[in-house]
Order: sequence, then structure tokens, then C-alpha cells
Amino acid sequence: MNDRASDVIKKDMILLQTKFQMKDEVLHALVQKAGEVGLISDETLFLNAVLNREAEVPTAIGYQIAIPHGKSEVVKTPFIGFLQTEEEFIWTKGHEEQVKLVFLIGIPAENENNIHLKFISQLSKKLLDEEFRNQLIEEKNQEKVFKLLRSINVVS
Amino acid sequence: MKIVAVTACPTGVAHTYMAQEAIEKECKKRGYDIQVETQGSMGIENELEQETVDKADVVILAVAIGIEGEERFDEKTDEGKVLQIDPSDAIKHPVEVLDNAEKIVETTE
Repeated sequence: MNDRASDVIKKDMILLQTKFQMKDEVLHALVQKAGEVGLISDETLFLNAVLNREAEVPTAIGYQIAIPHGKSEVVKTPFIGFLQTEEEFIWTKGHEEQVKLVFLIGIPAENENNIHLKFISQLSKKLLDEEFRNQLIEEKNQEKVFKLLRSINVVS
Repeated sequence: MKIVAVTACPTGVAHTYMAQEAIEKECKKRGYDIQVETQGSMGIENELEQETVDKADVVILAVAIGIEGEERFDEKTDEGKVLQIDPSDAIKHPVEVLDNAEKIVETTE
């Protein structure tokens, strides 16, 4: 059961120690990866969904983390992409939040698979845990980050 | 102190639940009675009964969208016992949010 839920984390969607310093670059990189991995059927449409959501309320939530997300019919399966930047940067002009960890979340328009959504919400809650966050900031090994993100239990 | 809250946010996957977690954590620290209803992508969870709302000292609505069953809070709104905030405030500044909730209880007794 656990395996299926944590399938929302794909190793290819983990980008570590990147040199990006702007929200646009980060989103572009993650969306492009999602397209390459086959998680979305249209990069432009998905990027628009994400940017629209950002425009409503920017998704930097403090703790150097941003959680941009998009809900769209071009999302084939729910997923979470993870990106670290070497240096923290300002997520949104005019807001002071600095970001170093970015989680891009893709949600299909139809919520058929709740277990995946449950995983995403569990991961979000886990981000409030300081130790967990520190591990995500420090870890430079893709395999280890992959295991760490998949270790979240889905409590039904 | 008895607190009830509702969290709800446009996409309903992350902020909704993080706000719930943040509020619950802070309330537990202060020893408050807390129930947080979430209205997210998985539907309504932990739904607040009218009775529970009526018995609460203050209501926190950490919502960025219209919510279902808003009428449940009409009376509390009239009494000035409802704190409306954005879900991100609950996540980033739970201490302040709860401080504000406490102030409401103190000034509306």
C-alpha cells in the first residue's frame, strides 16, 4: 500500500544543488522535467496553472520552502518534484521570503486517486518538522533524498 | 480554552493541511482543546458539528476560498468571535494567530 502512495515521488524529479536564483527558472526546470518524465501532457498549460495559483497567493510558506502547485487536466498522475538551490533567493518580488527548497506539486483535474493526495498532504505536514527540513536542506545525495521523501507514511 | 477552526485553500492539497497541522501543534503547546476541519481536495474531513462550534470560545477560519457550511459560524460571527486569516498566516505565524485568538476571547467575554 505504502509503495503506491509514495510513487508520487520520482527520482528523476529530484534536482539537487542547482544554481537557480529565480522563481521562473526553477519552475521552468521542474515543469520541463515533468514533461520529460511523462507526468504531464502539456508543459505550457501546466506551467500556466502553476503560475495562476502563485498569482493568487505566493506559495513560499516560510522555513525556506516554496510549494508551487498546479491542478490541471494535463497532469496525468499526481506527483511531487523537489528542487534544492545552492543559494537561497527571494521567491516573489515584494515579499521577503527566501527559498532554498522547492516542491512542485502536480494534481490531476479529476481526484481519482486519494491515496496519492493523502501522501502529498502528509508530506506537506512533515515539512513543519524542523529535523526533516534540515535533512532536506543538507542532503546532497539523490538516492538518500529519494528515500527520505518516500519514507513518509500514509495514515488512512 | 476551546478552539475550532476550518482550513481551506484553492488547490486544497498543501496549505490546507499544513495550516491544520500548524494550528493543532500550537494549540497542543498551549493546552487548548482544538478541532480543525479541513476542506481540501479530499473533501471535508473532521467536520465540525454545530454543537461543537457553539461550545467553542473562538473560531479560526484559515480559509482562502468560500467554504461549505458557513452558516454554522453565523452566531459566532455576530458575537465577534471569529478570526479570519489566510492559511499561510497559520503556517508562518501560528504563535501570532493563536495570540490573536486569545485576545478575542479575552475581549468578548
